Amino acid sequence: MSDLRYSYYPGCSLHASAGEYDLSTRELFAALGIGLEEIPDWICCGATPAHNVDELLSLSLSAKNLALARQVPGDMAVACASCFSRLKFTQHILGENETKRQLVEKAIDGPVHLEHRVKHLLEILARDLGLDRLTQAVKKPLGTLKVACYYGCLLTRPTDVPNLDCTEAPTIMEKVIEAAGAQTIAWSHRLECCGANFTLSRPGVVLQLSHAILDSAKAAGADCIMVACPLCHGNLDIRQQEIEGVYSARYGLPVFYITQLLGLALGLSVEQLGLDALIVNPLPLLNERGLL
Amino acid sequence: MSRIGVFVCHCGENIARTVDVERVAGAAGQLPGVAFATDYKYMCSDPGQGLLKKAITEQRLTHVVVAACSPRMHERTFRKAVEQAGLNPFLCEMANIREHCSWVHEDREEATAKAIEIVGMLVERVKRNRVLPTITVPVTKKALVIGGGIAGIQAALDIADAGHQVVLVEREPSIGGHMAQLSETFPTLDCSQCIMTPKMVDVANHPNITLHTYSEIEQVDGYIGNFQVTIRKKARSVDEQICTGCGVCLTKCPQNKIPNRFDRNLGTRSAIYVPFPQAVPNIPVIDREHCTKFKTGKCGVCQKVCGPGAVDFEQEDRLVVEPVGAIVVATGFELYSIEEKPKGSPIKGYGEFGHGKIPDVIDGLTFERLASASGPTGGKILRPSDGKEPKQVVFIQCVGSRAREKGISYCSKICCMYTAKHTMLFRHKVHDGQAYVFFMDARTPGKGYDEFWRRSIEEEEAVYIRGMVSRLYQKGDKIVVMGSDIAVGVQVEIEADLVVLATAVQPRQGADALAQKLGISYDKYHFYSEAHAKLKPVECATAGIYLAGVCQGPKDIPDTVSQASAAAAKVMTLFARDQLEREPIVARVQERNCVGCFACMKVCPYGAIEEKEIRDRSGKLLKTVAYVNPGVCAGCGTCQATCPSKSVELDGYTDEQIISMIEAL
Amino acid sequence: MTVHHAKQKHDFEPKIIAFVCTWCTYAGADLAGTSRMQYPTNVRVVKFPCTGRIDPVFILKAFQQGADGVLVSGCHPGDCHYMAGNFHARRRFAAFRKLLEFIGVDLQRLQFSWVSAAEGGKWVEVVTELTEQVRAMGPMQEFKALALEEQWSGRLDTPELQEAYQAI
Ligand SMILES: Cc1cc2nc3c(=O)[nH]c(=O)nc-3n(C[C@H](O)[C@H](O)[C@H](O)COP(=O)(O)OP(=O)(O)OC[C@H]3O[C@@H](n4cnc5c(N)ncnc54)[C@H](O)[C@@H]3O)c2cc1C
Ligand code: SF4
Ligand code: SF4
Repeated sequence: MSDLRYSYYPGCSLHASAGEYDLSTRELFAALGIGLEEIPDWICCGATPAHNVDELLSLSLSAKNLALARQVPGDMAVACASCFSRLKFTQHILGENETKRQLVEKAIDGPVHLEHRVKHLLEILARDLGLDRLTQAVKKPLGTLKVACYYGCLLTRPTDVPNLDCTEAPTIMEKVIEAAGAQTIAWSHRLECCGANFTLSRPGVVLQLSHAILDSAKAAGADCIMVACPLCHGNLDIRQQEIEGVYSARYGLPVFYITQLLGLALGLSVEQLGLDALIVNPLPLLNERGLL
Repeated sequence: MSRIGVFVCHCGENIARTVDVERVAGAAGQLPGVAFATDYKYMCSDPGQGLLKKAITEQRLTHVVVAACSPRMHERTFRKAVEQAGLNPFLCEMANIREHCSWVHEDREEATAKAIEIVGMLVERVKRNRVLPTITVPVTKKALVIGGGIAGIQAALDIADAGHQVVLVEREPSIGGHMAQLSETFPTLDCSQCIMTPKMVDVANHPNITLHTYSEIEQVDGYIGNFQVTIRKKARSVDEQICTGCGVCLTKCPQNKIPNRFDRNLGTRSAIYVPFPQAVPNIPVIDREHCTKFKTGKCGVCQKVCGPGAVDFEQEDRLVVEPVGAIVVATGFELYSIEEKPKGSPIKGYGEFGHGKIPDVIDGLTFERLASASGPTGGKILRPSDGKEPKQVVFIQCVGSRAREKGISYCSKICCMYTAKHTMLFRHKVHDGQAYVFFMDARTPGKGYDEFWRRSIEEEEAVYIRGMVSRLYQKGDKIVVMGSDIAVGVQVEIEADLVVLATAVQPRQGADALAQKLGISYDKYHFYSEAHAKLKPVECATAGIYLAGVCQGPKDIPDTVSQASAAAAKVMTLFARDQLEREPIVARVQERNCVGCFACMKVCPYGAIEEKEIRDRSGKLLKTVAYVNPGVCAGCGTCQATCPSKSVELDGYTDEQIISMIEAL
Repeated sequence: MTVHHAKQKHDFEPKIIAFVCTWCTYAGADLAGTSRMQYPTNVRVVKFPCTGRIDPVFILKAFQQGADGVLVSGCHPGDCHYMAGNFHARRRFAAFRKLLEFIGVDLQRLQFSWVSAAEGGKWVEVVTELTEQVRAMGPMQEFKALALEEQWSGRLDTPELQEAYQAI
């Protein structure tokens, strides 16, 4: 049991298309003995569209969530890269701009909590819990699996805002999954954009960008891809078959959430981790490697 | 009893309009100690000064107060006049009733009252002014030049040609610096070696230059005109007096696979080596880290083959002390490396460019060695990984420069030009090659520079893409360069055979440590600071020390040479005199009261305070007190305000003088 | 910056004494002059080579001698003509303020600022502000009373001292 506890902000995706990310996060944290309590009445953060349309709205949504998070003790734990980015941006912008801060305080009818710590799951696992304790908890090391860690664009960018890891050459995902015994590969497209929510408005863009990512992961010899963002996951997993069709390629690369792979190493079941919800079926690979 | 003269100036209407000058003179005449007071239309004019001088003699004045403009304007004028009349110049003070009174107030009554008070304060002060003798210090007419790049070479030659002795200290086994590594130089494309080597030889042969290579500055003491410099001559393991430079040892040394730093590790050298064939002096050094003899005690081949018997494994570092009168600092630069930087470094490195791990991603200096006829490839452009000739070469400018998020915000100034040069050299050697350049701006001010840059586009067909590169990665034997073309607004991807990075120019590592030895200041990047950005671009704030070349800020060869000659001219100006005169506003220690706590020593920004032993006649040590070296003291007075026993006093600003002014209120 | 305004008469005209360095603030005050800016006549300037030379005793002395407010001003941090004098001054005055507070001087009467040679306008602002602030506070009584009472103000007006002083 650890003494760590967090106020959990799942964000909309985890209550919808990325239900398995939510499920596996809760199961993993329970197995690691980390307290996770969902913030009552949390609201949508506006994700990537809101701030393009109305900055004040986007800042206010996140500021409101920061205020709500204070109902639950502990730092704020965030799973989605986009929610994480919006929360961090809000703190950054409002910390530097007094006028905007006053406007937002009026909008949410309360103070802005700039000091409240917002943490991505990766940070909690790598730093708060620590790689050593993570390794100790592992029951089934993932030694046979070659993982391509995919960061996407939001987790580390821009410099000085998320402060999760080095902007251009981060290693936090690799470190976390290596702590569970997996092998990681060096590949070129770890930080390229997958197209994000163009998936709805201009799918062609997403197909092209995600194709490049899948292509380079495959070429580098990956067995699977690991992500920490529901949007990246959607584009790489759900659209993978379509991309294969358009570009006449064959990847068959399962795309896992970090929590799913870690859960596997901790001995959690397929159902507990929602592995059956993935579109590219990971079970044959996992079976073959003796990880089930 | 003092006889003070007060002279109130009208400054035409400038003062008289708001201040009733006659009343001021009248009031001054009533002050205790004042023997004479008058007013005049223009005190600074010839007749005004005449009036002053005449009054001094006729009225037998002992002190003078001129109530007029700011002392920053005319203090010198009036002090000189006073001196001509036979009084010590420091017995004259100015009361500022123009800038600080008539110009900033409108009410005549109030302004006049204020002017009277100001004059009163200065009268009290001047009473306590002491006769201060001008201080003179002798000048040692020998200069030290630190760094033997083109900057140091030029400065040394200029000073030596003027007939003065020069000591040139270079850290590496040979002089030459970066210019010796360049292939051809913009804007004329003449060969760097061809114009550099003769100068290097001149240095070696000049009767007035003493050259210490493979040497470093250990310690600097003293002050302008009188520095004492300790130089560490590192053990070369070869006797410089005996070695004939035949080079037999180099060919016989079995340890001959050591990467050659001069060639940016593209070629190899032996453990006993000269960095490059044209080295000056042409005397080898044993690299003890790689030498078998030093590692295992065996070998000694070089010693056996050396005819004159110059190899000396026992040689040790030697310290040489040189007295010099002036110092020119010319320690140059090094290039930013994209490698991952240690934690805590303000500089970040470039993970997106592979942190220096992709062999065919090289920097500009490495490209110079590839293009150099005397380089490791004999002037053929061949890639480091497989020795093949690259056809598609991508050049990336501003790597590290103008990139705040990478730790550097300045422009390195030379890379736009040398990248244009590189595209040309590449085309001259690989006729079917294509050069691409990613750039933010093309900065080409300089005579013939823009024309040169245009030539690279118009005649050598380099493709310039305005935009930055986000990432590059190895794909098979190509390097994929992903960037943006902001002029067209599209993403570009180029599969290159070789990538050349124009990395930022940075001061040498350890530049700060040298600055601390010299007592000169530097900016946050560790470039050395000039005393004034416009009017004193080669002087340091510390008297007697001058700057030349890139150690002061990025610049190309023409600018470096100009600055070096300017620094040399400053040294010659200094050496034109046998003695230096300086304002006698210096601190003095009352040895009787000093308790030797040396609090003053800690706060003095100039290191002017020394320990002095006081002994009785039999030589017994009575006490150790502080001593202010008047040659070094700059007169800030920080020591005086710090001294707990009030034993140190700044001449011209004594406690008595200041307190008398406060009391005159 | 102050604009030209109709001169109004006040009951109390405070005495302000300014200790400034010659390179930055004195030059800044000169610039205010050459730019013909206007400010109250209350300030008297004492010039030092550097703020590093300013002994806290001078400030006490000024208050004793009847100053109602004291201004200390030098070069901006990092711009000191003597490299580090103003840093020493800053450290010294930080400690000194505590002492003043302890002995009961209202710190509003003592102002530290950085005015560069280019900041004529800032000089005017600082001086005007301090004058108005001190005017509102009224005359500084504490020290004056003491000085009169105990005769330790060091005023050179006893007959003996007067005589010795005349002999200088
Ligand atoms: C890739 C590249 C291409 C270039 N091409 C051109 C060109 O075509 N045309 C042009 O005009 N300019 C060019 N330049 C610029 C040119 O190289 C510099 O302007 C010039 O070399 C500066 O000379 P310097 O003497 O100031 O410095 P350096 O050449 O760096 O010399 C400094 C010397 O001081 C020595 N030193 C350093 N520290 C110490 C110490 N503590 N004690 C003793 N000695 C020390 C060093 O060993 C070195 O010998 C180019 C630069 C680069 C990087
Ligand atoms: S002693 Fe050292 S330098 Fe000399 S030949 Fe042997 S290895 Fe080379
Ligand atoms: S000289 Fe040109 S390439 Fe170099 S930093 Fe300046 S702008 Fe960038």
